[in-house]
Formats: sequence, structure tokens, C-alpha cells
Amino acid sequence: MTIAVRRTALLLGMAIWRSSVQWWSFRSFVITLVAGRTVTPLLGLFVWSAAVPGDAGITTYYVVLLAVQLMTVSYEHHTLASDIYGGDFAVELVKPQPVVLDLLGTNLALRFWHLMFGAPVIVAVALLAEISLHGVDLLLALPAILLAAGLRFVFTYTLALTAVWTQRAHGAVAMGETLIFLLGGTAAPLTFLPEPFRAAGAVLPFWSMLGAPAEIAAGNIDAVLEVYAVQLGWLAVTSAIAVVVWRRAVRRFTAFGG
Amino acid sequence: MVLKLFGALFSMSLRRSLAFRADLLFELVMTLVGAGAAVAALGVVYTRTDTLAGWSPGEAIALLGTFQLVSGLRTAFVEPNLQWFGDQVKSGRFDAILLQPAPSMFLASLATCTPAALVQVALGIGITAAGVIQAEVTLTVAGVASWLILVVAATVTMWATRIALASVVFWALGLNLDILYDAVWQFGRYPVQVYRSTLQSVLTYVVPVALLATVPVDALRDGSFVAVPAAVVVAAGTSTAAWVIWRRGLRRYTSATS
Repeated sequence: MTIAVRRTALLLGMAIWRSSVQWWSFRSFVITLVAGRTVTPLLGLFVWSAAVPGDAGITTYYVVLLAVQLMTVSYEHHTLASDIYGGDFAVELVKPQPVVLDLLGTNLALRFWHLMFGAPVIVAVALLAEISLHGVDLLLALPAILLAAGLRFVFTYTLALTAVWTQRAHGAVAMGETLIFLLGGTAAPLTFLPEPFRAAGAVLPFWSMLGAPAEIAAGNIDAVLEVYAVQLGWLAVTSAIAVVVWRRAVRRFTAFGG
Repeated sequence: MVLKLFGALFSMSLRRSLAFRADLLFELVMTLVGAGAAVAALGVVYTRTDTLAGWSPGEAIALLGTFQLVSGLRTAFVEPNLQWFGDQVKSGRFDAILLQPAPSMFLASLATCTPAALVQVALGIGITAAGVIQAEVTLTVAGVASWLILVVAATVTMWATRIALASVVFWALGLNLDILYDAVWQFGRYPVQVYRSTLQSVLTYVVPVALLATVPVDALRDGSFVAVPAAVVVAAGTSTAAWVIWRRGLRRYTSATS
């Protein structure tokens, strides 16, 4: 058991390193990806700052949301779905390791570079907006960020697997991202949504993927353990769904050529 | 001649789209969801305020509709050709465009289209009309004519700037600025007065994002032609610049095939 865990950790570490080096050579492209990912939180910051001027809470929330967005980005609709469409998925299937490892390695490497290249933007916006954060809130937000990152990966990975059945996997992921935009805390903080969307947003998985860690880091939530519990519950549910979809996808997948 | 060619190419794209009806239906659903999400996000903002940087809810909806209209034209006619244009240059597939008996800039930017995206144009017109009715704007012939001219100018500017940006690949093969263009484009969905003064000036005078929707809807509600000459000059200027950049870029192109 210990050997298997060690081997998996080693393989994952190698995948992260390999992917990090690979993406460093495409750094100009990664910078444009970062620009694309920072736009929606920045728009939210500008719009809500104009709508409710002087509300320091909302400014802090959107600056933290910007950071959480960069730490939880997922591009499996490009990596996994493209492999399926191009037939490279067949090569991944015969490797003596779980297919998910390389994809997870790529995901983590991309998140690392997003955070590195996005850090100057986060710092600049935080200084311009004159936000103040508390160390305790940031520490409490760490588990929530990890859970959100895992949840976002599993969610996007599952949607990307639809590439086995349809040519519209990118559309399926885009639909998921629209839901994250509306109910995940990008369009507005959850507490600003009218009922019944606020209540629905609190129990659906989308807020757990993005808005929840930002709310904790901004110091807007007291019942932190409840948020962790909801995130853990959704991570378990989405992981179970991912396993079922994966098994069916592998049975369905066919490739030809040589 | 160019119009006849454009008509023939549009007809071919339409027939191709109709052959894949499930995909077409999915695209339509995605367009509806995207437009609905944008209106909903704006609606949430107005649950907390009566005006956003001086714009009433109806006026902001009209602005969003105009933004959707120009975005729809971009998605329908320009993006299917210029998205990942760099790959065509890298692989040598661009040779096929140069060998056609038609202007290469026209073929590279407008040869194919996604007719399903025209639904977004129709939705944009509908949303603009709904906003105008809600805002109780008194429409004048001058206002509508001015809005129409400004929308055409914005579309031409969009086409020209998109070509100019895509042409960067002739000088820097690894540089793909598609995502960056899209990121800046998103700033057009809200009134530019929402942004801080420096950014507002940049989005008005340096990167003419204000021309997309803020300026046309301003003209519609004021019934004024004041902005028309400047918008026409910008459209003509960017088109000329795009033509010059394209010609110079072509001189650098040496093909990637044998």
C-alpha cells in the first residue's frame, strides 16, 4: 500500500515537473491565458465597486476571487478532450500508470504558472483597491482552496470526458463555466443573489468551486466548517460520478491507426 | 464581386451547418444560455442600485444588447477564420489561401462562417429593443441612424483590429494573441464609465472598446451624430492600418511546406 502510494506520488511529481518545463516554453501563451482568466473577476470588481461604492467587503472579495480563480483553473476540455478527438488518448491508455496522473500533473503545472504570472496582477489590484486581509482568514481559506481546486478539476474532467460521445465537449465545459459564473460567485457574491438563487447557490457545487474560498479569505463567513463539509460532500459526489463516467467512456472509446 | 463571393461562401457554410443538426441545435442552446446569463448578471447588479455609473437598468440592457450584436457578428464571421490563425501559418496551410483567385485578406478573415451565431445577433437586437423600451428612451430618426452607423463602424473596427492582431504571427510565430483580444473585448459589455478614469481613457482612446456599445447607445438615447465622424475615422484608420500590416506580413511569409 505504502509502495503504491509512493509510486503514485513519484509519478505525479514527475508529471508536474515535466509539464511545468513544457509550459514554460509556451510562457507567452500562458500569459495570454492568465489575462483571459483575470478578466471576469476584474469586471466584477469594477462593476460592483461602481454599483455599491465604498463597500470595502466587496472589493476584498473580488481581489481574493481573482487569486482563487487562478489557483483553480482547469483546461481538461483542451488537454483530455483534444487527446480523445486526436486519438492520442489510446496512447495514454496503454501506459503503465493511471491516465488521470498526467492530466492532473498538467493541471497543477498550469495552475502554478497561472499563479506565478498572475501574482503581479493580484498584488497590483490589491494595492490599488487598498484591501486588508487577516492572516487567520487566509489560513482558514487554505483547505477551502484545496477542496475547490480538487472539485473544479473533477468537474471539468468529467465534462471533458463527454468528448467520447460528442463533438461538443468544449460546449459542455462552457455550459459548466456559465453555471460557475452565475452561481459560483463571479457574477455577484452569493449573498447578493436574490432568493431562491442564493439558497440554491449555497447547496449546489458551483459556489464550492470558486466563491466559497474567496468568501472565507475575505472574512465574510463564520461557519467555515459547514463550508468545508459541503465542499467535501460535493468532491465525493463528483468523484463518484467521474469514476462511473470514466468506466463507461473507456468502454465506449475506439481508436484506429498506427 | 466581393459581395457575390461572400454570399456564395455564406451559402456553403450554412449548408454545412445544416448537415449537422444536433451540433447546430447545441450551438443555439449555448447562444441562448450565454445571452441569458449576461442579462441575469446585469439584473443582479441592479437589485443593489438604481443606476450604474449614470446608466439606468434599461439603458444598460440596451448597451448589453448592442454588445451582443457586435459580438455575434464577430463570432459568426470573423472568429471562425482568424481563431488559431497562427496554426495555419505555422503548418503552411496558409498557402491554400494565397493560391485562391481572391484577395488574401478577405479570404483569411471572412471565408467561412458559423451561421448559428447569427442567433446571437438577433438576440442582441431583441435585447437592445427591450432595453430601449424599459428605459423609455424617445427614439428619433437621428438617434437610430446614428446608432446604426456606429454599430457598422464598430464592426469594421473589430474586423480590422482582429486582422491586425492575427498578422502579428508573421513576425512572431509563437505569439498567439486571440485570448488577449477576447479578454479586452469583454470590457465592452459594461458602460466605460464603470471603470476608473485611467482605464476609461485607455478603453476610449487607445483601445477603442468604448466604440463597441457605450458610444452607439449613448448616441441612440441622445439622438446625436456627434460621435459618428470620430467612429468612422477610427474604422477607416484601423482598416487601412490592418491592410498595411497584412501586406507587410505577407512579404515576410515564406511558407512552411516544400
